[in-house]
Amino acid sequence: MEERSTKILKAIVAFLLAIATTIIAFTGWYTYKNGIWEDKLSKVNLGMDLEGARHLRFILDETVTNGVEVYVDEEGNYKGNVISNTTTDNTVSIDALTEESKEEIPYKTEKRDIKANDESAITRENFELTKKIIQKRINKENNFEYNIRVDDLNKTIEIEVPNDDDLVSEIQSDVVGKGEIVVTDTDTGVILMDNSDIKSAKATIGTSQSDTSKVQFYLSLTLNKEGKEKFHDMSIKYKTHEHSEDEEHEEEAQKSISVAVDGQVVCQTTFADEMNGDIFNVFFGSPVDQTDQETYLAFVNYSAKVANAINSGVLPLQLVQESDTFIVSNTKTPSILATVAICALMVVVSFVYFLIKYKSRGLVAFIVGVGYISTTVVLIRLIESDVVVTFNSLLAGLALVAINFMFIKKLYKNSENSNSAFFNTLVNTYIIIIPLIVIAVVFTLYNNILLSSVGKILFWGILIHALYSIIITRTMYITKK
Amino acid sequence: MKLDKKIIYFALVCLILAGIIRVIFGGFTVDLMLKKHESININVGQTIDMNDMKQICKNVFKDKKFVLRRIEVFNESVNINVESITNDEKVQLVNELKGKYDLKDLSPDDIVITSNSNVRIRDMITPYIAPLAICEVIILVYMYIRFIHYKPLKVIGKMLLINVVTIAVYYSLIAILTIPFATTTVSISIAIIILEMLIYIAKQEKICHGLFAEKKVKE
Repeated sequence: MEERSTKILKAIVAFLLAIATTIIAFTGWYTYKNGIWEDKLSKVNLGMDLEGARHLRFILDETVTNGVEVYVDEEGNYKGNVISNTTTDNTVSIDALTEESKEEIPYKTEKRDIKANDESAITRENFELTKKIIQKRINKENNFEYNIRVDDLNKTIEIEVPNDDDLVSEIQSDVVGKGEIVVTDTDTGVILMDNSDIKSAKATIGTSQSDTSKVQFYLSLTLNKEGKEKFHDMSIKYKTHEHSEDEEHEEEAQKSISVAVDGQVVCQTTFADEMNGDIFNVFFGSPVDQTDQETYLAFVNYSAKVANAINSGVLPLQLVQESDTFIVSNTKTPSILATVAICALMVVVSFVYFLIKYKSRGLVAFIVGVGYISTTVVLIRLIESDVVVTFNSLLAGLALVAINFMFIKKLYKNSENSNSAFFNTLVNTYIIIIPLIVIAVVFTLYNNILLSSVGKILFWGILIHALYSIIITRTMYITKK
Repeated sequence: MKLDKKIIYFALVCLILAGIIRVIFGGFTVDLMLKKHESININVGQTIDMNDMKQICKNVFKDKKFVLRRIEVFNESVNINVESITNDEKVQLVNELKGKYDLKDLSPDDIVITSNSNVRIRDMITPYIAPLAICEVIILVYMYIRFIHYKPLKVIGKMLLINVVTIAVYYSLIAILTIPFATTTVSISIAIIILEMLIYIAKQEKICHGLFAEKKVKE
């Protein structure tokens, strides 16, 4: 009689636990804090195949700037834009340069129509290269799913990304920014160094020399052999003038270099000493107060982005965004419908199987199974915030349901019904699912959001299954010690 | 080797060869959304019933496969994807929309046909190759250690062979039956391999458990 009442009590507890965890899993776990109700569980992030995607369409930039005065070498190669004739306090027009300065410029000038994309650059190979560079940039910085389509005939590139405005802005800058870094003479505009002289770039932070309470962002450029020689020559030519009593020296204007990234000047500087190394540190903007979180983070992101763009290579084509449309996913595809149908079938079949074969014990086992799945969903949402639910994740969930079913079936087959039998069955089950455990660990550690989401679901699912089985399942039907 | 096993192996080999030939000469049949196709975005300025839009598309495109998707969250715009859209179909679509949604000002010039290029199958498969190769190596090493006393090389060799044959049969069936290669195709193939591995390991555990028990009895 006592054993029967214990069994009924256990069944009621299992049922209530299953109901509670199922409700929390699908509605959330709200706590009242600072006057608002907050959901402790992280939002369910649906993947592009289930939610939809932002379709970002990029086309070739067709802008043409007419009549630009440029420097060209003997072979007609572009060597920089002539600084505008409109003088300001800091610039010197080409006409106002002394004959000596003009002689220093080893190039002739001519007027050209500058196209954003030269006809000769618009080739299939360049479209493929553009795609590879964009993929490199996206993979390095971010961890999200995306699709990229290149149409060299219609000259478009389309990128599908999840519906996240911050992500979309990042993609836009990855695609539109060519990644061109150019060092020029501030006065004349002659190009002194460019990407071909740089081996790699790294974004770094150091204490500001002018204000030790602030930090200074740098772009640390590692130069190749040619770049190192140019750097050395630059450091001599653009050395900071020291205060001199010599009047002739005083009259000489301080020459400086300008560093521009994708046409935006990020720094103007001179050199205190002669440089013989191969590291060129470029200051990025003014020193930043670390307590100003917004500016600090903006600089962190921007400098990392620029370094990444330089390292991945200059885009051979200049693109502009044509459109940005959010298209909802068509979830009624045969595969998704089939998976949902299989899930539902598994649930129904397992329910019928347990009920018919094991009657009341079977019903308890089914309820315990539902409780396990709900508990897994709750705990994964509590522990992990960046799991993306995709079709692959649904398959992982199906695998967990199958593991639980297999384990309980083995357990019930064993008539011993004791602790030792329970643990033997658990160990035997886990030995069989070792491939899944390996996949869970490897995928979790992989830097790809789709794979890591599947890995995390499997990893936590299997771990929670072990704990849940020991605490709940074992208690529910062990009747002998 | 028993005759029925020989027949099964022969059938599998033929199936795989047929699949390879089909892929070499015809390639996989690819899902509409993954291959080169054309699309139209339409905004009607009022709530769209997807069933009505589906019927309009059936009337216009007839036997051509099409995919309808909502744009944004306002249910007033729809994205229609078809392999190709002719000018006649465009005109007919406009007429159907005018009739259904009372759009007097809509003209064929307002409809822009956008060309969408294909997503390469190798781009879909590439992210899985390295992690799956790592997993396979780890699992093989584990199996070698686990079955060290029970002809481990035979066990892992057989498992590798089963993996390869399973994948080959799966993709051959997809190619021969012209099942469209979709975004879920690769995921399903991985799930099948894992399932087959689990079944194989369970079977091997049973065999080894039996052999171990036999050994104990003899001792």
